[in-house]
Amino acid sequence: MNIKEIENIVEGILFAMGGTVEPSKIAKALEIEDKQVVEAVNSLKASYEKDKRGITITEIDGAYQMCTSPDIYEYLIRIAKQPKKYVLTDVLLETLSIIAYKQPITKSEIEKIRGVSSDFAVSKLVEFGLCAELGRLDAPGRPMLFGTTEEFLRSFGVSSIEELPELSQSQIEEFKIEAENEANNVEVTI
Amino acid sequence: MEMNVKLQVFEGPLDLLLHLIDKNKVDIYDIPIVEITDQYMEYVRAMDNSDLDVMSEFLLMATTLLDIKSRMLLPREEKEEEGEEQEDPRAELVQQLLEYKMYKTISYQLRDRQMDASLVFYKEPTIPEEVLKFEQPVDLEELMSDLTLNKLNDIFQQVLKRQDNRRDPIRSTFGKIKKEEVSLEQKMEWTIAFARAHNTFSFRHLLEAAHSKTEVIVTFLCILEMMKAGQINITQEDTFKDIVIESKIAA
Repeated sequence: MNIKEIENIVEGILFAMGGTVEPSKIAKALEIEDKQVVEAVNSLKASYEKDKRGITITEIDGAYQMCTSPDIYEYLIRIAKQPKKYVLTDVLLETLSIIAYKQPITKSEIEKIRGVSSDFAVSKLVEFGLCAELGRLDAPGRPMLFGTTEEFLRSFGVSSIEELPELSQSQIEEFKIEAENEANNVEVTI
Repeated sequence: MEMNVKLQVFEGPLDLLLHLIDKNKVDIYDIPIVEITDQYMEYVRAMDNSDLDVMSEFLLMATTLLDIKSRMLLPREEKEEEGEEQEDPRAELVQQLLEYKMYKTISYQLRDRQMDASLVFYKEPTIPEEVLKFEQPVDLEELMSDLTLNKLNDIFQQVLKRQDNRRDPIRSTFGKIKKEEVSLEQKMEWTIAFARAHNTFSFRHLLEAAHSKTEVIVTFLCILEMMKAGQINITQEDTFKDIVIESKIAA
């Protein structure tokens, strides 16, 4: 089976299946190696990109899913009804970013960072399907652990948790310098 | 009304603190605690204190600030000969503020990501669930091809034997300990009936029917219960003397 054939099959499978499909599943069906599937998907993606096609393939947590290209949004939205969008308030976003970066995490750990009760925010995020209960921490009271879902990755266009925007040490240093510069401009006495 | 707006602006004490630090253009590592505390207290005083939960969070931070303030105002102990550096009372708060600020920054980045991601539409599954979940039915004939009644019997005997082996020969001779149960409800009914039939009776008399400690306790509870309901009057001349019960519901 040459790569072109694999590409064609993968394309058809991803189109028909809709949701996420793991490369290993396709590899098993085609009786080929996983890495051949990955190769085919990458090559397919490259050719979509080269031809500026209306569709593309995205990776979510190691699986593939077909989606539209952002370039066609403007036209697509005139035909497709805009899906109901939930607005994430600052509180929800703050809570979500803490969960995303520190997962699995308990509510009390979130509260410690935010300095406020986070019951409402967490339950709202679970309701939106962006976060889910992951089980319980083996500690007194067996508190519930929370983490992000596949829907979270999809909504934020990241293929895995590792791909989340990183707040590097240099950025933290930047904060520090920024704050110091500000401090230098004012006379401060305690 | 105005206060509500303020509460919405500041999602919590840390948020308010960050705002004050920004507003005063001071270094997060070198917070002028006295000034910030005064301004913070001003905000807290101006707050609508109808939501106690929210209020308590802000007040908790206020006490932390006041605590730090007082520690900073106190003369510092000279510990230099030990080469030990005095810890800045603000250190923990600074750490918390930094972490909070970090997640706040990240949350803005996430918001941008979400905007970009919303331009993409996903292909939802179009194959019906029952088709996706379909599994080849089991071929019974193939599954049972080499199974005979004799083999089935052998297996059954093995299962029985295993069950038998599991039994502990010593323990299985032990008798069973029965859990004693005296229901308050039943005893209540019985006591009320007793009180109906008698004008005056002693508690000791009532206990003649009791066979166990639990039953005595339950009977005593019944008496307390009936006393509360005003169905009986109780007198006791002295400690350890007999309790005399006078029934008000006697027929």
